[in-house]
Amino acid sequence: MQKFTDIKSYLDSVCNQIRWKKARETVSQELENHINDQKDAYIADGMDDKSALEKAIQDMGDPVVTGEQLDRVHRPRPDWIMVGLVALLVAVGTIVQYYLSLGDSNMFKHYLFYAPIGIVAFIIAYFADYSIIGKYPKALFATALVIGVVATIIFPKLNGAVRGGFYFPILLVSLFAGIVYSQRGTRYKSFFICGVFYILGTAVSLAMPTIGGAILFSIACLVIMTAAVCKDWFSAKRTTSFAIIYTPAILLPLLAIISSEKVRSRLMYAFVPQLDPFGYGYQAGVIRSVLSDVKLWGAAGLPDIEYMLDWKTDYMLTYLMAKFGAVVGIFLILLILVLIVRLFIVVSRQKSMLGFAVSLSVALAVTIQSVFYVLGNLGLIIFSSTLPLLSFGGVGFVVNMALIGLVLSTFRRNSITKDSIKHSTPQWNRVLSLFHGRIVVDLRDRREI
Amino acid sequence: MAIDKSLLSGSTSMLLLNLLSEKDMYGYEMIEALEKMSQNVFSLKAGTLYPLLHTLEDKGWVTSAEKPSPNGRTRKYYCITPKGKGALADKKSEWITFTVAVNRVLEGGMGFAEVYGY
Repeated sequence: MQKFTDIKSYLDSVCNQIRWKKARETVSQELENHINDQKDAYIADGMDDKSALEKAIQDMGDPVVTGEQLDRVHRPRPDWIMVGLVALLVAVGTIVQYYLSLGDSNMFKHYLFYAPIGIVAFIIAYFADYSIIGKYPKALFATALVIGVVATIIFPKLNGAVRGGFYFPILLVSLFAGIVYSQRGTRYKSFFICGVFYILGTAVSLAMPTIGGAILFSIACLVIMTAAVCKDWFSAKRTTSFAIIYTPAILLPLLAIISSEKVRSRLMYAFVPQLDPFGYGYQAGVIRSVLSDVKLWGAAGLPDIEYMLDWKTDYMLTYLMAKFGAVVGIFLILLILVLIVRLFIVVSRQKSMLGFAVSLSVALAVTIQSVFYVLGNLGLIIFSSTLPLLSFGGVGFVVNMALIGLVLSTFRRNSITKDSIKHSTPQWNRVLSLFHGRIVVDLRDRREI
Repeated sequence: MAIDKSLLSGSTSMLLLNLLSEKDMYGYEMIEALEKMSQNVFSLKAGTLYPLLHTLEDKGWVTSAEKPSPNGRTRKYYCITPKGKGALADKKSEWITFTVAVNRVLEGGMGFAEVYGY
């Protein structure tokens, strides 16, 4: 075996066997620390520096063998179960879209146009280094806000709302996760910072306006903050933290409901649609009467579902259940449930805090979208939403594919993602200071890791 | 005395898991503990230890976390998971079955407990 006299050539020899370049740094650091620990032990025993180092390196064994074994462990790989689920969902989605678009060729062409874009977005998100979300969260969030505001001003509006605006807060949740991650260890200041970014995000969402999006954003951010407090990321007392988060979270909506007639009425129409004077209640009413007649298997009695607005896009579940029976709806819902379960499993396996935050944000976005969609299709609420990967919607498809690609990226990089170490108190580098009436000149390098 | 490597390789994971079931340790600490507890019979090379630890982590039997050490570097501490504890229990019972059987054959039918006076 070749004799190594310096750590670097030993480490290089090991790392050359490791094909996944990103794993090399983590491995090198651990091995280097070990060599240094061993060297220190030999020096304490009386050896001189040079021999201690040489012996310590020799004690490590054959670097090529070590490297080969490490290479076998450190292979970047996707969560194949989730990849399979995505493929299944996209396939089912394509079939559903094709069936629904019979007689309307534009609809399927729309889908065929966005599907490849979605797949490309998925691949890019998977291979991209998501750690930039953790490195520059505030800059990214601010940029997104600016884009959102510009879009609100420039983009053509449909029914007074920016098209695709619903997806802005959905993407923003992942950036909020980065903000939460960046506030680790900053104690109570963290709630202020996170609160500010949350309010800004909600404000831009409401400006678009996307009420459903704003609600989704709020619920997701609340859950992420709760999880962060439970895991003691902010180094603040838990009970106080929950008080700080939940008091406004409960009080502000209550205040809005109590004080504003507009908010009250909008909420009421959302949940009890029949009361809406603008007639959105009609749709919910139709849905409910259709559903009351739905059979488990086979077409329902009522023929007038075709007159429902947006039945092909926003009410796909209702339509399919009316045409083919509840089984179809249940099947589609089960598919989404399996995806959601798998997403949360990936969240629970995250080793790093950043990976946890980002994957949680995606899991929440997918879950809440799905819940809104199902509730809407049952005639219970009237937010328009998306059933990820299944329901019609070009932008929605691309966004959800990108998000799931992002989750798979966190899974892939799980073994090598390192959280930056955060200190709760800042270290001041002062050369001159006053101490008990004396001027102290401290030239030591006090930079921490 | 130098032990035949093939006797050791299968059971090293079990020994490491056992160490970690007592307390979280970093790599160097584990090698020292193994040496001490086995009275220098087991002298594990670092080049063997780390691939093994990373494999255990990959299987979800241990997790790792970096903590600062007194000498200014960061150390990667390993910590056993519930899944790992289950794996350890399985391996231990496998080991006992194995050694009892070996001893029965070697000692002409006597069990492990009888041979070692338990």
